[in-house]
Amino acid sequence: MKTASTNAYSFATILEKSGNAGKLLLQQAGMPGNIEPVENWPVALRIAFATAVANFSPQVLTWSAAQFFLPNNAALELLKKQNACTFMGAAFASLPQELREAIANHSITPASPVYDEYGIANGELIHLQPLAASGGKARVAIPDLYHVIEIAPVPAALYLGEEMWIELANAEVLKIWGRDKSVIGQRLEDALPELRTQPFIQLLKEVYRTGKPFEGKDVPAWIETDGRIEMTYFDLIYKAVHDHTGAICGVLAMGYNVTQQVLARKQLEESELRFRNTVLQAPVGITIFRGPDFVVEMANEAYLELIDRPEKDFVGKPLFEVLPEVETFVKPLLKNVLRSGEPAFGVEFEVPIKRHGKIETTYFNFVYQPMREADGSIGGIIVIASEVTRQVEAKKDLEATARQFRHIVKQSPIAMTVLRGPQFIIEMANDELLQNIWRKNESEVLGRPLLDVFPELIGQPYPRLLEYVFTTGVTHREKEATADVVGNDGLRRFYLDFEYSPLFSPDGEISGIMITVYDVTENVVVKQKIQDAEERVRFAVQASELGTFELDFSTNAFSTSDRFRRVMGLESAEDLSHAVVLARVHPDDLPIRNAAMAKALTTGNLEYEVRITPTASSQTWIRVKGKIRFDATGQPLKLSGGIMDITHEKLAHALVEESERKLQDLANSMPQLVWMSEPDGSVSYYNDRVGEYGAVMKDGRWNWEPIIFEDDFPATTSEWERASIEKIPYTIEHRLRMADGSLRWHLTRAFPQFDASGNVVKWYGTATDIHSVKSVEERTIGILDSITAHIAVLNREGIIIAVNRSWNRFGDENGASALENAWVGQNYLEVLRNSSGEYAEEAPVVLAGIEAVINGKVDHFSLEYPCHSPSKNRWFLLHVSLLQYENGGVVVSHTDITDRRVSEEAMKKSEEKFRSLSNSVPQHVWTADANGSINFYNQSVFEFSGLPMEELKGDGWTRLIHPDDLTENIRRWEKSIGESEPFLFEHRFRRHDGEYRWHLSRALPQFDEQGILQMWVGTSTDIDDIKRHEQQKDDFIKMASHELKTPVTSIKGYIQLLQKIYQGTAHNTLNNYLSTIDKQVQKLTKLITDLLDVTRIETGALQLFPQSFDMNELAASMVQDLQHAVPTHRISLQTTGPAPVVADQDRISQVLVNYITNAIKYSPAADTVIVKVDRQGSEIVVSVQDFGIGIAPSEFQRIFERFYRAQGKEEQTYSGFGIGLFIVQEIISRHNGRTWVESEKDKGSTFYFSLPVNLS
Amino acid sequence: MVPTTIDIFIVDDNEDISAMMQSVLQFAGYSSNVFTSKTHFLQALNSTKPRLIVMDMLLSGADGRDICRDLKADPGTRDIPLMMISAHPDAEETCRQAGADEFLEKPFEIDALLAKAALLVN
Repeated sequence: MKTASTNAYSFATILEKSGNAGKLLLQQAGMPGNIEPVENWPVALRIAFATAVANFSPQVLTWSAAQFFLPNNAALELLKKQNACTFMGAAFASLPQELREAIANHSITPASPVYDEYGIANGELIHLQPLAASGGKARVAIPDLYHVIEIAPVPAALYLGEEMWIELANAEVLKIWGRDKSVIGQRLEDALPELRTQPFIQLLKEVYRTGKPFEGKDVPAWIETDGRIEMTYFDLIYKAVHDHTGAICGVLAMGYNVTQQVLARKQLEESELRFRNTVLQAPVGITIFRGPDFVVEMANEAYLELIDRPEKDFVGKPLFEVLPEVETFVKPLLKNVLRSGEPAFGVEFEVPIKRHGKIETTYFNFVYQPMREADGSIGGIIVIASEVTRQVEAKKDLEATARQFRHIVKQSPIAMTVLRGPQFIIEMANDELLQNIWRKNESEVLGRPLLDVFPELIGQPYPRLLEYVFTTGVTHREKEATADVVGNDGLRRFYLDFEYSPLFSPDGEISGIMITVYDVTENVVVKQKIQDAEERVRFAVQASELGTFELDFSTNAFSTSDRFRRVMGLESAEDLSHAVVLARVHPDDLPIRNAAMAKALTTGNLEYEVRITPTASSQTWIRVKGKIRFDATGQPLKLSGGIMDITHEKLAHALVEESERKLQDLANSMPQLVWMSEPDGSVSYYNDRVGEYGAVMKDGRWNWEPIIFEDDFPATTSEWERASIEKIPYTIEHRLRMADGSLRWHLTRAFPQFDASGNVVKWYGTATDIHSVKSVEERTIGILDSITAHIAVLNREGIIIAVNRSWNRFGDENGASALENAWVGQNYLEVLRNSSGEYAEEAPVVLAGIEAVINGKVDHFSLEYPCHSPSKNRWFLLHVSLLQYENGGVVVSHTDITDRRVSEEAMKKSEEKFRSLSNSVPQHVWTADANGSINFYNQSVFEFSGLPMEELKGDGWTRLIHPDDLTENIRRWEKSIGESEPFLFEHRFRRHDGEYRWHLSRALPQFDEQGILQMWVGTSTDIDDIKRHEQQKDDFIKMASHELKTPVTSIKGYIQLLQKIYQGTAHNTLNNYLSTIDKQVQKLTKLITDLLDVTRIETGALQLFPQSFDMNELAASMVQDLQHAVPTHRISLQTTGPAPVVADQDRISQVLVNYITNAIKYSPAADTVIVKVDRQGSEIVVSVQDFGIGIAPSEFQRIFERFYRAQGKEEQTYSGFGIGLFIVQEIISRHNGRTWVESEKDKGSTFYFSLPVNLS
Repeated sequence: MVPTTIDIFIVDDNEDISAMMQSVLQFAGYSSNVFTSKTHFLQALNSTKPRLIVMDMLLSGADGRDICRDLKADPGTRDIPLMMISAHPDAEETCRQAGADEFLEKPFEIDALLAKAALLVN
């Protein structure tokens, strides 16, 4: 039980507002002999008195044994003559006789007992016969109204009289006015002079005069607060207040300050507009589809370009009507998004689109984002798409190139293998390598680490070299290196020329090594044999000595040296005759000697080589050289000469001949052209392959000239000169003319052979047909041709030696000759000249870059540069990388990046625009990089937080978030970043003054053309006021509707009780009033129920209790009930057949009542309402047709919105909260039905709802 | 003036409503006691056994459904018919689960109150 003291204020307040009775009681209670002061009253008495005072009929309450006299206002009025006022609160016994008699005379029923809180009757309520209705005073008699107004959190005021005297103004309204309680009792226009120039007082007076309520939404008012006049928006309700005679005595004004909402809405509308503008200019295609037919709501420029359709042919049309070609590809995806509510993503999605008059295969990256309505349903789909056709095609080309590359490697006559990763896993190895060097099957090696397959390599230098190349990226080459390889046929030693080149992954990391191997074992072996032979010859020569002799022709005397005799095997020297010496000559060789002698007698020079037999068993070769002297007549005088044992030399020669024969055999079996030449280049030996070449022999002499292709001749000659001067190995690739006239690429090499003193004595040369390899290169060029980048290959001197087709086209566009390879042979410097012949600005940088690459200072060099021709602004990416080939050179590519640059610049411009725009937006605007690190805030953030950029960038924003929201905030944000999904969150931000304010933050991921997340653009809108007001409003409606039910319950109870009491009596006026009040209370009850329904709908607490029934029966019973209550209109019902449904019958009744009462309300001039129930397909459709004021088509949608009210002609208004149709729509949609309206202004409306047919 | 027997106990901390109900029931010939607190109501129940209890679902400091459950569990009181009233329209189910014999939603027609009371009293 409540104690008296805590309730004293409210009870005293009620008494103060309770007219004369209350005021008298407050004055007289506690006077000697009278009842105790009211603050000491027990609750039961307070209730009894308050109830009595609230009653219009005269009543006298008596209390306790003393029967204190407590009349109500009506009783005071009735007993005025008896001076009842004086005796308020006095003991019954002390009342004058006259007064007591008057009470007894007027008493109409036995007094009812009044109980105290212990259930003991401690008083009586005496009902008196009321006076006939009098003029009465213009005064509202319900004290509760005052109280309700006082405590209402809504600004409310009560004005009395035509002059609008301020009777009551609650704290909220005073706050808005910026005034205090002193205004009460003043005229409104005196208290608030600023209202004189505004329409409100006029409106209030109008309500007072006509009794018609005024309701306005978002009504602007100029209100003076703190000396400043500010624009404020209100939702206003003015309603007439009637006194108990039914006459208007004043106006109740309620207002709800919606300034924040209105301003916020305006801001949102503006920001929406900005959004649309931004979207329209976005460099990615954006379009929005609505409804089940995917009607195009909007599409930006970029999108229209993608699909090559003008806006007028696309926007407003169903998607697949305009783009039928994409239906099979896209429709299932869109439908799925509608159904699941999940966004769909496509990467390099293939779609055929008709563009420029023909169907093209295109590729798109896209996001289909479902667009949710306020009620959570999906109303449409936002599509963000960017075309990647060119990238996909380029990728496909690249893939094909890669495939081709593998193929080439596989077929290459040069042994090759590719090793991957630091383990040197054998990724591929071609047949040449597998069969000839490794001598293993492919299956034994692929996928295995090199050193597992060839453990014998451990300890050889190769693992270390591979390691070196893999870590440094520097290519390693070696010649004639020995390698011991264990193949399936055992260990073999090889001499190999090889190259280890690093392979790079796209991100520039070293991913593996490519090895090319050229087996030179045979060459090396031959060379070593030759060296051996020559050594031996030299030794023989050194070992030889000369023996001398002299013959006198006249005397035939023959003298010899000791060495001569030793060589000839003639030890006894004294009597040595010429004949004896000749006898030692091998008989077979004597003719040689004789011929030589005969010749010498003519020429004077003797020279021959013969065999002699110094002993019977031995044989020695000698060389004889001599000179004959003659007399004046020409007769020979003397022969002097020497002999030399050339046996060793002859043996050596035989050996050389033997080895040369072998070499020739070998050479002839070699697939190359092999030759040997003198130091001057004259060819002394060649193998049989010469026959395959053209006219290499001319007049029995070797002649290079005819077989070297003219274009390659200068290079061949100059390289030869260089090699012969520097005495270095000679290598050149040139085309040789074959016997059939065809040109084939050859690799010609020659190695110098040195004598002991380092002079070149011979060149050993080979010419290897490398045409197949070269054609591989040419095929590579073919691959290059399919690449859209412009590619040129430069040699070390900067001369262009090859270009791809794109390059030629590029040259063509830039005015150069369109001839194939017109650029080849030119210095790259020419490329750097512009059309007027001057070097481009970038030329020095480019040259330095190329040089750095050639010299191995850098791996590659890149530069973006403009190439603006008069007709076209273009941008290129120049890339220079080292040619992975002997003798270096570089590959220069120019990629057209105009599109990228243009969009980048557009982005930059749009970003600048965005920044300046965002600073003018009242919301907080921010952007984050792809990782979610915040990199931009607009000015409003700094102003709000009071913190500078340094403290907020990156993750600094977290310090602004309310601690309670932070964990979830970070979780959501990270989730959005991880999934590139839009971010939406309500959280509190700390303002510079420490106050946390609710914000709604949203951020959208921004993708580039490739669909790669670029950044996030976010906004945070201060929704603190809206949120607080929404909450207050919901709380208030909930509280009010519940609280209102309590007084309504007792009012309704008493009215119905009174109706029962006076039923059938002659009190016609009273009965009329009672039934009017009852009707009004019914209306009030409905309003309260509706309000509660709205909050329940909004909080999702509306419960349905479905059951199966026939709509015809329900409609019939509703029509019947309403027809009783409405005499003005005839309500007819038309049905067609069974209409089974499963639904909440009470809620559907509510819908029907709403439609029918609306139909009556809005057709005051008509007399018919038609209700139809019809089955249409799988739906039961119910319609209610009136012939009233109708609705403009523009309002068809809005009338189902919350708090929307129809506007009549001029000042004609219709009462109500404007929530009936909102509730109807909610109820029907919760039943999976539809609501709609058809109407014509001034002709009437038909409201429909449908429910699914109950098929079971 | 003290009534000899009491037909109906009205338990509602809202004095206006309880007074109204008392008036209505009185009009129909029932005598009734009004209780605004659980304690007094239970005290009175010790000495008097009414023919009907009409109780608001939400009393200050107590839940009418809890009281209802207790009464229906007590052999001394379980036979007394109990009608629950509430301004909360969705409360009927929980009230009946708690053992209430009838439920009336505020605001109500007095005919409904009287009809239900008559049904339960007899």
